Amino acid sequence: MDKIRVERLSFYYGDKRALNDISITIKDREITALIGPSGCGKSTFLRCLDRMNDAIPNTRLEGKVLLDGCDIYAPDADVVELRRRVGMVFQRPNPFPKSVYDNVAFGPRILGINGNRELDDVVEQSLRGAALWNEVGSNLRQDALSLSLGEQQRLCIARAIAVRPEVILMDEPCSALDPIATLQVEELIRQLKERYCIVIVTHNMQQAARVSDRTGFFWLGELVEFDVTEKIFTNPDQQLTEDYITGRAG
Amino acid sequence: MDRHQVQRVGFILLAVVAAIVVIPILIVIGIIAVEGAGAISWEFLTAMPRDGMRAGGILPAIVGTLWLTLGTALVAIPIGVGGGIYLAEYARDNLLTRAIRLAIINLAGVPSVVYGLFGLGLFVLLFRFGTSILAGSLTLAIMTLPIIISTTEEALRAVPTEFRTVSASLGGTRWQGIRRIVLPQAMPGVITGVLLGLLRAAGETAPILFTVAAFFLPRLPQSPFDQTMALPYHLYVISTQVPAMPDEIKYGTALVLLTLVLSMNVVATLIRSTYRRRREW
Repeated sequence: MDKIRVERLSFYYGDKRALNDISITIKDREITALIGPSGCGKSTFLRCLDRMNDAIPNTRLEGKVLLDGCDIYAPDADVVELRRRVGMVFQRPNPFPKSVYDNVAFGPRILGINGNRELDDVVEQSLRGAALWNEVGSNLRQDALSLSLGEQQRLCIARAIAVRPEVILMDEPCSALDPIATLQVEELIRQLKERYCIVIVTHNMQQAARVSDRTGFFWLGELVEFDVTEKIFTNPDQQLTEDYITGRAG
Repeated sequence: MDRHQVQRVGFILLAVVAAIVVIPILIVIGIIAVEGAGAISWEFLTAMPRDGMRAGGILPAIVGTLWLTLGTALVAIPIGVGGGIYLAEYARDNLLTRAIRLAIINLAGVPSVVYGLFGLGLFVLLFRFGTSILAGSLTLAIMTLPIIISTTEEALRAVPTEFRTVSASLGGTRWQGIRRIVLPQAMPGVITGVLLGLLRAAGETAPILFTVAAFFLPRLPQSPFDQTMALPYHLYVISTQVPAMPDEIKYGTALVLLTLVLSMNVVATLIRSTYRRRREW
């Protein structure tokens, strides 16, 4: 099932064009990886999917981004509700300087869930969903910043899924983590695919190959190639893609 | 001289400079404490002045200052904190907001007597509040606002942008992000600014001179429209306007004012350090 359809998207920082005429269809319950060298526009593209670029002054966007067929940039689109439906996990683990419980409960509380039982349930489900319950379930009052970085990132994932999003965007979620924590987060991402549409930006090509179903290759603001991951990594159509994944370009 | 000697000389110079700043303050506080301690008694704190203020207590001045500080707080805290939030979180960076910021900075530097005359013109005469606690509180509040606004704004700006982004990414409105994560994180700074502003207001003489302060009024104020005595002005009066005033009472009054202001300062420091221990990023 198609979850997100992007039609002829271009994005500008002032006069500089960061994305050029991107069209792509992202499927539900799949992991879509976006790869490419630094500055190729993959993170900018990711942020276009939940309008996180809106806050940056002097930017301009052309084209359409359709979520379940509705243009998220339409004048009457509800940005706040969009971001509830489309969650984001950031590059650096960034829990709030609050307890584990308050971090996960932050989103539900914003949405008006205040009952203790209800919140407890959401927190437990979300922590289980983020494969963190076994580690922190016995002490939800501990300071989130006392967790290891890998745990912090999984906490951020728990915080994101606590508002029951449909899509989760991840912007190089493992780049601050050690190899073991990275594998744990990757395993978690694979589990999350059962319930969510996941788009992950990574500059680690092995990671894209390990976790994703489809891979898009960005180069200088263009989407050079987008296909099933296995094909991209074994038999890409474009010479540039092959050069990049084999290390000859980039 | 090798570089280690240069460093040692540098440190010594800095220590001397620090001492030049700190020692006079300690001497002033010390003298006031020693000379004034004898005047402090239960009667001094709880009785009306007698004998043309040469005896008895200073209760009306203490109560007046407390009322004025409370009135200032009621007006200045909501407006000041609200203005700080607006400038830090909502206002766009354009010519108008830059002009507003510049005005706030300049207002903080306006001599307090100018605020006093402004309050006299606006609140006492034009609004017909008369010389009253209301007029005095409003005048002190206006003087305090720049401090509260700019410290609130700075405290909010010191909170990482990331927290606002994360809150937005979870489907929070801008206000929810401010209310639930940014403001709590900025609270120590906000509280410090508020208390520093209020204790400056508590100690000022000039703004209350024309707007509220009574020379001699040996009863407690009954309503916001009453005049009242206040500690800073009372101190000025007994130090310069009353002949044959016992020194002990002057020092005692100064000691009470100083204690009031310094204890607020200590409270501000305590609040700040308690909060600071709880936040890290």
